[in-house]
Amino acid sequence: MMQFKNQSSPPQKVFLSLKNVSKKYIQRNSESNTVLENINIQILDGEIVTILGKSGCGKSTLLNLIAGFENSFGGEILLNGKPVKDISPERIMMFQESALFPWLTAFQNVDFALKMAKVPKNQREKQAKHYLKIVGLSDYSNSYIHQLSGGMKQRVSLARALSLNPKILLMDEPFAALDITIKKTLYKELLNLHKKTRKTILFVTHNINEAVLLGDRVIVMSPRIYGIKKEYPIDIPKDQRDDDLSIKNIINQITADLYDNA
Amino acid sequence: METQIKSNSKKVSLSNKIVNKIINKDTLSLVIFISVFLAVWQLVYMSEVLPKLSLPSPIAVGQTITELVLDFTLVKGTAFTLWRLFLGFLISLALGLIIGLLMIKFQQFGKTMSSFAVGLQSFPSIAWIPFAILLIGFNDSGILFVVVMSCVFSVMLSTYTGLRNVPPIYIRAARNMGAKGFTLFRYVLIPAATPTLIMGMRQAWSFAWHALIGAEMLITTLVGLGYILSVGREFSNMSQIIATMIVIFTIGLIFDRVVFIKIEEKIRDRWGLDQQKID
Repeated sequence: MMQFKNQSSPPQKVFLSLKNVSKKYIQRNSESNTVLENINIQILDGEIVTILGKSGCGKSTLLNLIAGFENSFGGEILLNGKPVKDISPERIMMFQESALFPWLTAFQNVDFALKMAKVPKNQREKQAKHYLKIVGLSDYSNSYIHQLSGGMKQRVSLARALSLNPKILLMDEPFAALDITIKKTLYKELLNLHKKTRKTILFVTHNINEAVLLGDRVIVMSPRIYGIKKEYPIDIPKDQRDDDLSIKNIINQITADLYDNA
Repeated sequence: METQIKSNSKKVSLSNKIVNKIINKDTLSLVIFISVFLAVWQLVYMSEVLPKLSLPSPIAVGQTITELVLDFTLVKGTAFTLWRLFLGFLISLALGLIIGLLMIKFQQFGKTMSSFAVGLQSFPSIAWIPFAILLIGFNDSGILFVVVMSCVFSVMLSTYTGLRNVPPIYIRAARNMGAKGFTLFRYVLIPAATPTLIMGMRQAWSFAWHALIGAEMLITTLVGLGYILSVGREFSNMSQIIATMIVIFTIGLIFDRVVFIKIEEKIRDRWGLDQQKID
């Protein structure tokens, strides 16, 4: 990770580390189908790293491995130096579609997470309200999920994820189904929350603008090589990225990279 | 975005008002329907197309109902019948849930059992009666056996399919948050399967009701609405038969409309299932 030696900020420690991670699926005819091969990624504490790739490049699989949803893979995934095993609330996944429970209200959904985290009952209400407040949904805490818009659903998902105080947030195209204006608001809110909480975030997307707008680094994956094609550090401050010329250059470069089939 | 949601909730409350109006309209049209029915009945009676013994007048039936209520025949019969219904339904519920869960737990058993259950679910309940009489005898247990056999499979199948069709993403999210074992089952799987479970229970209830009256008519135990019906037939007492039929109809209507529809509506509303259809 040569790029980081040049940065002015003090050296940060590696938080999540993937070493030679490979994943094959065995098909019915017992042929194996390689999805990932020799993936090496190091993510620093508090970083937002976006993983960009076309569908079928294994980016979601990678996130599933880190989340612990699938336990058979090659190589090593270390979080804080410890190998990742099984599912854990340390690594919370946010899905593209809302995985909120439709039989509960927004408040009850967050409360459920707190209950799972074994937060004492007398503190749960206060905390649930707090997390709904930081995603701006205090007024909707008693709404059932179907009464919320797509953007609001993802905000509740975010509140639910944050309430578990995970060490890393895994986001699997959480905004893909939303329209552009709502997306932009949510980008800002996510970055603000990140500024406050300094949570490490791994964000998977197929949207170049999104990847470049949110990430400290953009990792481009390609289905051809079952792995990482290139990595782009993005040194422009996040609040200036909207209308920065060099951002446009990076976007053009990545676009060329993504659609170049070599 | 927020205004959009607010207008949505306005729509919801508006549609609730409309629903309330429809319910009132429904009650009104029910009253009209019953009045027309009684009028036609009275006309047929007066026209003397049918012998008066075969078709008594609505007023005569009304008198019979009053008499049967006052001498406690109907009250006692209804009480016994409802008691058997509740007991049979509760036993089926417990058995159906337990076997349904075992079907989930042991996959191969589940596969085999579900094809059997589908067959047995459509098995005519009355066809169990000779078997029940020879196996158990002319008693309450015989009746309960028929009731349970006719509705336990609906509960079993709805438990099985309801739990099997819980969207994997809910389970994944819950496990990610740290839910497992009984917690996962109690707080995620069961609520997620509830709409299917309620539908199965409603079906089971009506199957139980059908089976119970049939069983009471054929497995004579000297009490119950079905027994009153069969006594009416033996004494050619058409007033008593119609009076009992009206009671049976009313009980069925009350439970279906008041109990199950209310529960189902509440769940559909909470889940937004009706809205999705309209959209």
